[in-house]
Amino acid sequence: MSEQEEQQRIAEARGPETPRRQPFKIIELLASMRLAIGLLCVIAMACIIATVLPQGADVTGLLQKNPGAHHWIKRLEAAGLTHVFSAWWFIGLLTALGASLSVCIARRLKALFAAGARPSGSILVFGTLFVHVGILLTLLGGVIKLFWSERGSLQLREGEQTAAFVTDDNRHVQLPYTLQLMKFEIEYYSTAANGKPEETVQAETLVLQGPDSDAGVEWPVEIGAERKVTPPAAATGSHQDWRVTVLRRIPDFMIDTSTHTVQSRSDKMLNPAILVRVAGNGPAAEHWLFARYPDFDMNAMSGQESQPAPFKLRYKVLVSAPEKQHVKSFKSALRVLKGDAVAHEQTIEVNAPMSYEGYSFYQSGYNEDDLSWTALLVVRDPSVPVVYLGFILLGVGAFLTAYWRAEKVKEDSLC
Amino acid sequence: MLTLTHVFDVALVAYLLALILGSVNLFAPRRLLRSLATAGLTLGVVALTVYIGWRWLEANRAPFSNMFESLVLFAWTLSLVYVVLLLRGKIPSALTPTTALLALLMLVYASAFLSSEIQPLMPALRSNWLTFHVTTVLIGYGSFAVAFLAATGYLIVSRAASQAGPESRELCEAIMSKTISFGFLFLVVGIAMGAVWANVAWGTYWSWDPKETWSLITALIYAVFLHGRYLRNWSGRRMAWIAVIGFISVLITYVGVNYLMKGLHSYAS
Ligand code: HEM
Repeated sequence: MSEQEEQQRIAEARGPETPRRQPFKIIELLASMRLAIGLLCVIAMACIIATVLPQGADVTGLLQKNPGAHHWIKRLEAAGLTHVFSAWWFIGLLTALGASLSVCIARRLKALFAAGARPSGSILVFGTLFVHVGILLTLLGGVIKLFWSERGSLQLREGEQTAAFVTDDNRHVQLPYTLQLMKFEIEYYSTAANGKPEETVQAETLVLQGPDSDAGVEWPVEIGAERKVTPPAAATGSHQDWRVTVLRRIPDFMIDTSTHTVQSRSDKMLNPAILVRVAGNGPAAEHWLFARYPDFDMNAMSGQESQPAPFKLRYKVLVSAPEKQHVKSFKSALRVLKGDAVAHEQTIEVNAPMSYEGYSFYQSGYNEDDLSWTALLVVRDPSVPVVYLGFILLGVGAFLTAYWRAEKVKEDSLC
Repeated sequence: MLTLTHVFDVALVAYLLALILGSVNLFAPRRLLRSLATAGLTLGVVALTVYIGWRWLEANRAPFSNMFESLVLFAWTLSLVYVVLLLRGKIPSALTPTTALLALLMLVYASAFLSSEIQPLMPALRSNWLTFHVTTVLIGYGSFAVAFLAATGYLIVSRAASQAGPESRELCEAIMSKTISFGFLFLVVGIAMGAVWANVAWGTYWSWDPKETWSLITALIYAVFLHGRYLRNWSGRRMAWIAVIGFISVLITYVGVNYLMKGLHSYAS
């Protein structure tokens, strides 16, 4: 079949041209392909503008950063270019598209009925009809959403209940039932479920801080290994070597008060400490060094004095940041109460909301420091079934037309 | 031992072969060259199929959740659509080198600049809708890419040889119409699935975020193509230009939005 024949077939399906009488002029215009294509282009252009120019909340941020922009932003605002998707002219474009689609659909239906049992090129006819009705329903859904949907949030602690929520524009809305949070749960990817992630020790070093410089030598902590320190003569007045030895290492330092001995409370690195011996010319002195409390000096407390060394020692423990645990999911077990009776129970998580009597509850957030608490998004949107029906028609229609074209090309065997 | 990386490398080599042999064939046409180029491309598709399947098993989820995985999928859909058309004799083999080049660019970029590590999915992405939405949209993108290659090919040929015969015009028109009708179906269904998913995950099926908006722009451009082609008899270079503009819009939707504009879809980068 040739291109002309196809045009012919479409013209037939559309029915005879309406005589050009005055009241039909506007209908003619709406039905014209030229207008349809023009509208598609203009709407596409408007969408491009909306993603290129700052919109809504971005504008305030932009003004704070760059007050000089005030002048031209005011102009954009006046033209409705800073809130394209809610601007009257954009809604107007969508309305015009809807009107054009309606006229096109009405004509198609009229032609279909006129053709009676002889629908020529039927797959294409039904395909385009479905596509257009689908788009119209989606637009209609948008209108319903605009006027009749509600969106808000609520927070609950485990055990708490509520029968109301606050909308995004700060209105209190009563729910037709009471909602109770039974339990909140977080699931992590790692095998060590739930518990706090553990820190891992990467390196333990003994740092030498010289008399006049902070940047010092670092030795790995090794029990028994003797390190030699030769401070510059200027600092001590004499050439004298000092010897530093690590004697003990305790991961979680504590002193047993009854026996007065040093012990480790646990084998976790909760309060790591090392005992070092520092020997110069005089008698050697022993010091506890604490990684967490570098300035704490036990010897000062116990009154034990020793020959002061011309340098300081620090015990440094390098801990890798606790391995970031990836949250797998977070869930709220909800209960719907009507009076005292339990009407419904469901556990929701991200990607699995609960819908009950017109309202849907979405898991939206939680508090890392208080895991008995949950944040829910509440939505009532009567447009959803309309839009979904539109999607189905759109999909089926697009399938039928694509299929029909493939058939047609086969007939032509163009390539 | 054979690993995922080896399979990826096989795909790279196969596409490279298809690119080289296909290019040589353009200037010195030989049956053997053409067959080998086709074989190279087919091997590339098979290797990517194995790669995606294997990664799917290894990750225990559909491997379409970050830019690396997405680029691999795009290279796969693009070459799959082309190879299917080629093996059924619906498209000239002259497009083999550009198809291989485009797929190769995606794979090389992915392996050079992006991490191929398998990462755990964040809660928002843990949904079967991810699989349906992404594969459907990317099949659409793949066929738009083939339409784009046919369009650029035609634009170049019809310019260079000012008397590019009516056959080459008709052939190009047929390829573009078919791939764009097919791609449009998948794009529209993919967008609708994305909208359903958005409603399940965020409580709204449309929020005018940049990715959504650009996917709509892309759909509108191809809708203009289809109406112009089938109802106003547009043809030749004009159609080709719309196919080019449409694919630029695909690229903006696909990469531009992830890197340049912030929005709900930003986790893809
Ligand atoms: C698979 C996709 C599509 C196909 C096959 C298709 C096909 C057609 C056909 C055959 C006509 C003219 C015949 C008639 O009067 O019914 C038409 C008109 C029209 N199309 Fe589409 N269309 C598609 C998608 C779209 C989309 C996505 C839009 C808008 C977003 C759209 C908007 C319009 C409008 C407003 C008209 C009215 C003009 C007229 O009555 O001639 N179409 N389309």
